[in-house]
Amino acid sequence: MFSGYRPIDCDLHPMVPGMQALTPYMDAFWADQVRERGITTLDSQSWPVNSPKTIRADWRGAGGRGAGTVDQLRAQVLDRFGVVTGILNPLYGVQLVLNQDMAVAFTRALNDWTRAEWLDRDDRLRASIVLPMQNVAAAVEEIERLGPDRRFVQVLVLAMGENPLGKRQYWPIYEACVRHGLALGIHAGSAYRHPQTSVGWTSWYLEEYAANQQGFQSTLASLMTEGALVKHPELKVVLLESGVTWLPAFLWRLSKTWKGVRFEIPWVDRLPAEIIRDQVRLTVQPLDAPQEQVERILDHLRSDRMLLWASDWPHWQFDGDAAVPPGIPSALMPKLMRENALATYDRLREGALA
Amino acid sequence: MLSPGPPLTFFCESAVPKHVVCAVADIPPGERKLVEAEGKRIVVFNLGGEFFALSDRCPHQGGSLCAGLVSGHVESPEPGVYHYGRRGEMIRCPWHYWEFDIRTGKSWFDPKRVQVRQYAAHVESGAALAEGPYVAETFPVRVEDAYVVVEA
Repeated sequence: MFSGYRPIDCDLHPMVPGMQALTPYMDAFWADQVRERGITTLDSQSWPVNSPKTIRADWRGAGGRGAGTVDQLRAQVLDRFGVVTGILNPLYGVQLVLNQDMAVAFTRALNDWTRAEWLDRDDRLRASIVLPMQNVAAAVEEIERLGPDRRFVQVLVLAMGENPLGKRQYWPIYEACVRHGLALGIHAGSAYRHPQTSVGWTSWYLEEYAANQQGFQSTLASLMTEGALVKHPELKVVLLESGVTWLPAFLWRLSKTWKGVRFEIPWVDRLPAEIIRDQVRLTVQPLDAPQEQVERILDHLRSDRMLLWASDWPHWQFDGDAAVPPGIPSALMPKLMRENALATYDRLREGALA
Repeated sequence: MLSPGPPLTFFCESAVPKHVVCAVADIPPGERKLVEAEGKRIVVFNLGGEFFALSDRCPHQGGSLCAGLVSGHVESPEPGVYHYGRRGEMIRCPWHYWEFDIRTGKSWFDPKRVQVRQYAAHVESGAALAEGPYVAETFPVRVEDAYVVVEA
């Protein structure tokens, strides 16, 4: 129903039904370890399966799960909304695993599962390479392993990981992204190495979901201040399921304070807000603003290049066919639905018609 | 020895009034002094014998620059590399730490739009000042000393 825009859906979440689905993609040792230890699932509490938010009610299948098959994806999103290209961002708790060897084995299996069970089954699909951030060298190796498959257009990490993402130990990952023309996707969620808020652990799902905003802010500030963005000006960073409305005020605070203490980070030689506008993109859905305020928020962003459309399937961000947040001005639609994604993802431009 | 009827301000036609604001010896190298001329608060800096005068009022919200920290200038070709130089030539407003180039009054982060009002400053010998013509006021000028003159 948006086919006139030839839309690109930038945030789709195929859900792994259970660890048994991944063992075919592991070597014999780890496949047996999963079976012998009785590891049944890595579903993360960042996206509790039974939470209404995690899977829209009418998108749930038998047993209450969802997003399990390409057929579901076609019926619920691709065909329904006329999606030309969709980017898969698998969210499974591989980031939570503490044992690095296990984490690498499970993450590789997840990526191979995505490739075989999803990418190979519909030409419209592209995907992110989930990174085992427990080990930087292994993360780079995973990029090198899968980078030659041009259907991977992005790497995927969580907003709340082990360390702020700008830290220089992570830079080999960003160099690999630039080398392969991959965007850096940062999705809401925590590896639970730290409380989800800077003041401690949350009690409720509501608290935690909202706290992702702080995680995104801190992550963005780290990437900017440490110099990861200015060092890699070609790197595009995509915030996934981040919400949007917090960004203008945060940019203002960041830029204002920078004027006084920029000597701390002399490599940031222009307003932080300008750097972030050049290199950072955000997906909607969700767009966390009431309909009548959307244009104001967009005005505060001071950029029409930053927002990328996403259904966020199967997360429950909208009802019925209201896949574009109400209040988006029609003039923005071509950019939101397609052009901004093409400008963001180098690999989507390969062979894409303008 | 004090000259009689010493001058503070003298006027030339179609020129900005010149004010003898202090003796050179009042501001040792690296130091600064807050003076007043034409009702304006002006901070005078001595950078190794060169004198520069800026409005004391930060263009941001009016903090007194004279009370600020003097530091150097740091730039960077890439993260983690600090090129530090021009020690003592940047003044930071005490209120929000905006930094200004003492030689030009320009801010570093937005030199075109954000700058401190600068006034021309130079040194005159007491002997030259004694020759006039001056508007006589009450400032003791010794012919053998040197003075800072600010055009404001």
